[in-house]
Amino acid sequence: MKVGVFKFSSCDGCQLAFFELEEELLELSRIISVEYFLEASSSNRWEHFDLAFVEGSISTKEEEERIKKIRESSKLLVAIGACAVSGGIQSARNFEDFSQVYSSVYSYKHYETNHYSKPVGDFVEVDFELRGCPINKESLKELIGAIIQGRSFQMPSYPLCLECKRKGNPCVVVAHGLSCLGPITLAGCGALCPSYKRGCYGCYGPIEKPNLEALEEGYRRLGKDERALKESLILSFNAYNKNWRGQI
Amino acid sequence: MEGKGKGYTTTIEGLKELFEELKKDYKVIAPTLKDGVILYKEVGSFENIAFGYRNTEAPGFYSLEKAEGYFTYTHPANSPKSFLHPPELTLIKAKASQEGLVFEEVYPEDKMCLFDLRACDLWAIKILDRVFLEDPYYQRLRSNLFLVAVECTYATLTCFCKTMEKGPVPKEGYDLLITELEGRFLIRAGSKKGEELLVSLKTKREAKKEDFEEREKKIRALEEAMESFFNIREVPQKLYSRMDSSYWEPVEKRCLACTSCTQVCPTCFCFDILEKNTIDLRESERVRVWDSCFSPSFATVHRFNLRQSIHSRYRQWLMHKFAYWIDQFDTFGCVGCGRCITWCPVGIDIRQEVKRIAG
Repeated sequence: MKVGVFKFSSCDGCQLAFFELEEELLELSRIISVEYFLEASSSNRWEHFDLAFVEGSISTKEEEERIKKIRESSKLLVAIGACAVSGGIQSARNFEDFSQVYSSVYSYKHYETNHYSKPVGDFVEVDFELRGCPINKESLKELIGAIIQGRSFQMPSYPLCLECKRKGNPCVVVAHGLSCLGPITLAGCGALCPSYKRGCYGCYGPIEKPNLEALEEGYRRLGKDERALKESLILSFNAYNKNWRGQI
Repeated sequence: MEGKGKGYTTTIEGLKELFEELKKDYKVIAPTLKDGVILYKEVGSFENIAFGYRNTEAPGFYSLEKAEGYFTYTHPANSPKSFLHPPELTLIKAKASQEGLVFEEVYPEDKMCLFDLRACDLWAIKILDRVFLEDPYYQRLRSNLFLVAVECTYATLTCFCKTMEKGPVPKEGYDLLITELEGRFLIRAGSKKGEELLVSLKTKREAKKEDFEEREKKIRALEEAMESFFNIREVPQKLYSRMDSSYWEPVEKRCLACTSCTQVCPTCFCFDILEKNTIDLRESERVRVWDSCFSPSFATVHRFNLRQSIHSRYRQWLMHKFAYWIDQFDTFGCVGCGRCITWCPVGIDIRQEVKRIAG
């Protein structure tokens, strides 16, 4: 099986999950052949891929063209991480005036970049998504296993709260008055933040049909207004996810 | 119910002696303090029990403060379900060998004592007994269980065991029953193994009339202080006549469908089965995990979710607890512990919803 790993506007962090598959690497190397992976190898070939992993959001014209080329060369395409799935933290600019954001960072016009940072799925068809900032190796292992074994990919579609309760955590909203995006965030991280008495900040992105109105009520109960909620959603790396479009 | 056999009174040292005796044979699970919340957990020493704390609970609110006495709280945030129907339980392991696939059934072997169980949770176990009647995994854990019940002398704002007719007095199903009196504890046995252990305790004296009178007074006061929220006998029929979504839609705006209520519920039993295998397919495990009727995949059949709206999921849950459960298991699915009210991050109060819908 020919595999390619690609990077767009992103921090490279999700690609590290491949290196974390230490125990499985030997077994995997018998089944898959990594053809293109700039972060891992200096020898790269771009012909045809059975499986392409794409990290990063699409935020330039060049990236728009490149993602289409990858799609054309690949049988299956997987968007990995909050940038590829939702547009990433850089999509915070989608909710502001672009020229102001630009000039607050750069003093002169130097870089050609799109006004919006968008997920891969806005440009090409995506077969699978791995959520998170960064993704974790368990979900990567599950996906690769499912594809190799020809079975369905088992990923949660439920909110983080279910995973958090399975771990035995009391709700941090109720017990500690913390604001937490867990109720509308997809599970899969192992409830990492609430297990350390921190509210979830939503890096796995929204569940399908998140109930914004109920979440606003939840924030009000903690003495936090709609602006505070909007801010935490925009900073969740996933505000431009298709499940939020038109709501934030 | 006064318990079988005689009652005894003892001191805190006597309870410690009891605890030490139990520890010889059982993994003792008791209320402990963790990050400002009382939780059932395995405890190594008697001193780790969360004695002398009082929990204040309200819809979507929990806090703890110090209090005079020992069993001053109500029930922990989690319930016996966490131990009898664990959130993740491996059922079967499969391994590839030269002779082909070898299957191994994995049974939990723990011999557990649940120390300090209140009337609501005692009832919850009775309900789980009916649900998991033929489940060998549950039965294995259940048959080795020793139950020490404690009578509540205090109720929080979310407690409604009285309305559900499940408390505050534990009626049956315990091995030992403890009531905290002024400076001493009344202990009675509810089973043969409880009686045997009680008789063997050194630190005790036979309970007198005054001990029982003091207990009676405390329990009466609590029963009188607790409110009755609705008439439980009328609820199922009324609910069946209110299936129309117009009764349920108001919940749509408030409920996050976060699943918390079902997870903290001591009787919600729904589970999913996962197959976890290694990439080389040489090993596989079948794991049972907690699921929830609020999960979007719960009612998904052939990729279509039969309960798309949140209010239809809420209806399923509430109707199950207060109506369908009776047809299914001949009991309500709710014991009135109030955990779903306290631990709802937006403070939805099931008592108010029952009153509104079945009122």
